[in-house]
Amino acid sequence: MRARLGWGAAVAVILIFLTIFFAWPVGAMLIRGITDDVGALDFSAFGEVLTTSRTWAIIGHTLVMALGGTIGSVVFGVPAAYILYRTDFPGRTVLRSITLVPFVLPTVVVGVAFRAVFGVNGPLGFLGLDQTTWAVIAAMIFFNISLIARQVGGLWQMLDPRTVEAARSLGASPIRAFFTITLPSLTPAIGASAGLVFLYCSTAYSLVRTLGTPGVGTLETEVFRQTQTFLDLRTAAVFSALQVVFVLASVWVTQRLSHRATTALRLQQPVRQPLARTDWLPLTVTLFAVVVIILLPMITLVERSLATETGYSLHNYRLLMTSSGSGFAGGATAAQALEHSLKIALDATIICMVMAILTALVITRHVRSRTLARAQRALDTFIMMPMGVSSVTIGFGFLVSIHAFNPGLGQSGVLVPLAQAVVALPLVVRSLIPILAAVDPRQRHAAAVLGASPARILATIDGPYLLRAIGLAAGLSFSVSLGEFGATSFLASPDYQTLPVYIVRLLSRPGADNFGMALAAAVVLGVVAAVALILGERIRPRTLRSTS
Amino acid sequence: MTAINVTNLHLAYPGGAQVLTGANLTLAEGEILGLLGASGSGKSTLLRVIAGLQHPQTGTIEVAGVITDDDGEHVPPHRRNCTMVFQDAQLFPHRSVAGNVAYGLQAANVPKPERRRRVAEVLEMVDIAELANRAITELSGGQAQRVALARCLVIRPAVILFDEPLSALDRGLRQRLAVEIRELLKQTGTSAIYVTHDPAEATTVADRIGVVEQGSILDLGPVSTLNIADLSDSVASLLGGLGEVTGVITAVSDESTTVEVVEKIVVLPGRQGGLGDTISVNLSR
Repeated sequence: MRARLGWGAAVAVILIFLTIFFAWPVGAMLIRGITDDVGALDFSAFGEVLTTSRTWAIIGHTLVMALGGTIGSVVFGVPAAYILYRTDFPGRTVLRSITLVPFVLPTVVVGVAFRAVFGVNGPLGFLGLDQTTWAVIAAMIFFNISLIARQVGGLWQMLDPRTVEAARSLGASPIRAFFTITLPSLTPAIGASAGLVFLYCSTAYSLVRTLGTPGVGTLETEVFRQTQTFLDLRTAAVFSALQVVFVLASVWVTQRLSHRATTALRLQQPVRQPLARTDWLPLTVTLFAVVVIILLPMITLVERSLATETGYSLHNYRLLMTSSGSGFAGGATAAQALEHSLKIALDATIICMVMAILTALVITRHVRSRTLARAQRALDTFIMMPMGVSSVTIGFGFLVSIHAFNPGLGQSGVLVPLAQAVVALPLVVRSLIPILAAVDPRQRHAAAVLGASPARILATIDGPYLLRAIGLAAGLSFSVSLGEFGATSFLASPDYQTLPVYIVRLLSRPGADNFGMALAAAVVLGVVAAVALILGERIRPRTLRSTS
Repeated sequence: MTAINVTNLHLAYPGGAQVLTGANLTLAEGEILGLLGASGSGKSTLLRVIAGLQHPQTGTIEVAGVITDDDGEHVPPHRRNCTMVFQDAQLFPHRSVAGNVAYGLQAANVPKPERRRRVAEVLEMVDIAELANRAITELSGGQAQRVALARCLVIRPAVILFDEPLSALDRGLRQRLAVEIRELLKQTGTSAIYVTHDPAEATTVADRIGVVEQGSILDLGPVSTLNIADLSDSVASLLGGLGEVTGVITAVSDESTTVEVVEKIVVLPGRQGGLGDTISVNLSR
C-alpha cells in the first residue's frame, strides 16, 4: 500500500511539473495567439500574419535552410557511414572520434566557430559567406553528419555483403549494385535519420542567431524579433504556433517514413572490409567532411581566439575577466556570465535529475494492468514533447504564462533553470530508460521472495543500475543546460546573463575586441561543456565501472 | 571449348593461411562437376575466385573461352560469363520474385518486352510461375532456392556456380530439388560446378566428382564409374554416403521399379513408389 502511495506521489509530481512548466506555457502561447486583448476568441492575428508576404518568405527561408542542412548532412553522412563503419584502415578510429565532437559542443560554440571560419580573417573568408544562409547550412551539416553516419553506419555494417556479391555475379557493376541493392536496404535508416536532422535543423535557433540571422530569418528568430523588438506578443504567439505546426508536420512525416514497411534485411555480425582502391570517392567525401566541415572550424575557433593585431596572445582571454565588451555601458564580464551559467546549469541539473529519475522509474516499472501500461506509454510520449517543441516555444511560453502571471518571478531569475530543465528533460530521461529497462524483472522477484520490501528492492536492485546512469545523465543535463540558448535568450534578465547569451550579444556588436572575446568565451564554454560530459561519464560507482 | 579452365591457382589470406595451393580444374561445356570437401577445405573459396569475388595471388582462370584471371589481372565479377547460387539464396529483399529474376536482365539492358517474356519463361521452367508477384519474405526455403536458380538461368550464363545451395533444406526436399537442378541444367545445356558437403547430393546432380583437399582438387572421374575401392582413406571417409544416389522412377509395376540415376537405369525389386517420384537408392558393396 505504501509503495503504491509512493508511486502515486511520484506520478503526481511529474504531472504537476510538466503541467506548470510545459503544458501551461505552450497552451498560454497558443491562447495568446487566438484571443484579443480582453480575452475574447479572435483569429484575426493569424489572418494578418498569414496574409503578409514576409511571413511566407520566413516560412520559405526556414524550409530552405532546414532542407539544405538535411540534404547536406545526408550527402556527407552516407559516405561517412560507409567509410567509418563498413571499412577498416589505420586511422579509422581517430576519424570516428573526431565525428563525435559535435555531440558534446553547445550550438553557440559551433556558431561562433563558423563565424571565425567564414569571417574576414578566417581560412574560408574569401568565399564571402559570413553571416549568410550558406554559413548556417554548413553549421547544420557540421552538427548532423555524425548523426546520419552513426544511424546509417550502424545498419550498414550489419548488412550481409553476399547480397551485393549476388548482384555482382548477376552482372551488376559496383555502381549499379550500390544503387539497386545497398541503397534500398539503407533507405529506411536514411529516411528516419534525415527526418530527425530536418527536425533539428528547423529548430536550430541558436545557430541562426549566432550566425547573424541571415535574410528574413526563421520562424523562431521572428518570434524573438516580435517579442523583443516590437513587444508584439500576439504576433509572436502566432509565429510560435506556426513553428509548432512546422515541427509537428516534420515529426509526422518522419514517423511515416520510418514506419514504411521495413524490408526483411539480412543482418549479421558487423563486418568490415579493408579499404579498397575503388573506395576513393566515399573516402574523399568523408575526409572533406571530417577535415573541412568538422575539424577546420574547431581549429580556427581556437586559433582566432588567440590571434590579436600584434600576433598570438591570451589578450582575448584576459578581456573575459576584465571587460564587459566595448560599446556596452557597464554590465557583467564574461567571467561573471560564466559563473551565472554554472550556477544556473547546476540548479537546472538538480531539477532535471529529480524529475528525470522519477519519470524513468515510473516508465520502466513493470505493471500488470493494461490501463497502467497504457498510461506509462502516454507519459513516455508526453515527456518527449519538449524535444519536439522548440526551446524558443518554451522560452516564449514561459514569458506569456508564468512571467506574465508573476513578473517578480521572472525578474528573480528562477525561470531560467526551470526552462533549461524542461529542455534537457527528454534527453536525460531517454539516457536513463535503457539502463533501467535492462534490469531483469526476475531479479526483483528473486529479491522479493528473499524477503526484500519494495523500498529495499528499489535501493538494492534498481539502485546500482541507476547510479551507473546518473553520472552520465547529470553530465548530459549539465552540458545541455550550460549551452542552452533558445529558451534562455527570452528569459535571462540583462544583468544576470548566461555565457551563451553573452556570446551572442558580443557578436551583435561591432569591434575587434568584442569578436575576439566572443571567440575566447566560446572556447571556454565548449571546454566546460565537454568536461562536464566527460566527468559525468567518469563519475560512477567503482564497483560498477569494472562490469560495465 | 571448355567452360572453365583453372590452372595452378594460389590464394592465401592476409594472415598467411594458404587456402588454395595450386588448384587445377577443367570443366567441359555442358558438364556438371560435383565438388566435395571438408569444411574449410577451400571449396567455397574456389567458387568465389572463379566468380571474381575474390582474387587469387597467382594462376589463371578461363571462363567460357575468356581469360578472367591471369597472374594479377582480374576481370570484375559482372563481366564474367558465369553466375552463382548462394547457400542461403541471397535474394534481394526489396524486390518481388519476378523483380529478383529480372535483375540480371536489367543489368544487361535487355529490353522490357523481352525481359518479361524471359522471366515468365524461366519461372515456368522452375515451376514457380504462380509466385511471380510474391514478396521474398513469403517464400519457403525451397521456393527461395528455386528463385535463386531462376535468377541465374534467365541470364543464360555459360556456367553456374552452386555454393551448397540446398544445405539449409530438409533431406527429402534436398534430394528432390537436386534431381530437378540436374534436369534444368541438362535441359538448358548449362555447365556447372556444384559444391556440397553431401556426397549423395553430389552424385545426384553431377556428371563427375572432384574432391577439394588441402587447397587442390582431386578428380575422381565420372559418377557412373566411381569406384570407392580406388580411393584413399581420407577421401573415402569424406564420401561416407557415396553409395546413395537419387533418381526419378521411370517405370513401375508390382514386380519391379525402374529408377533413372545419372543417365543409368537401376531396377529395384517390387513396387517402390509412383511414376515420376524421386527416390534415393543405396548402393553398397
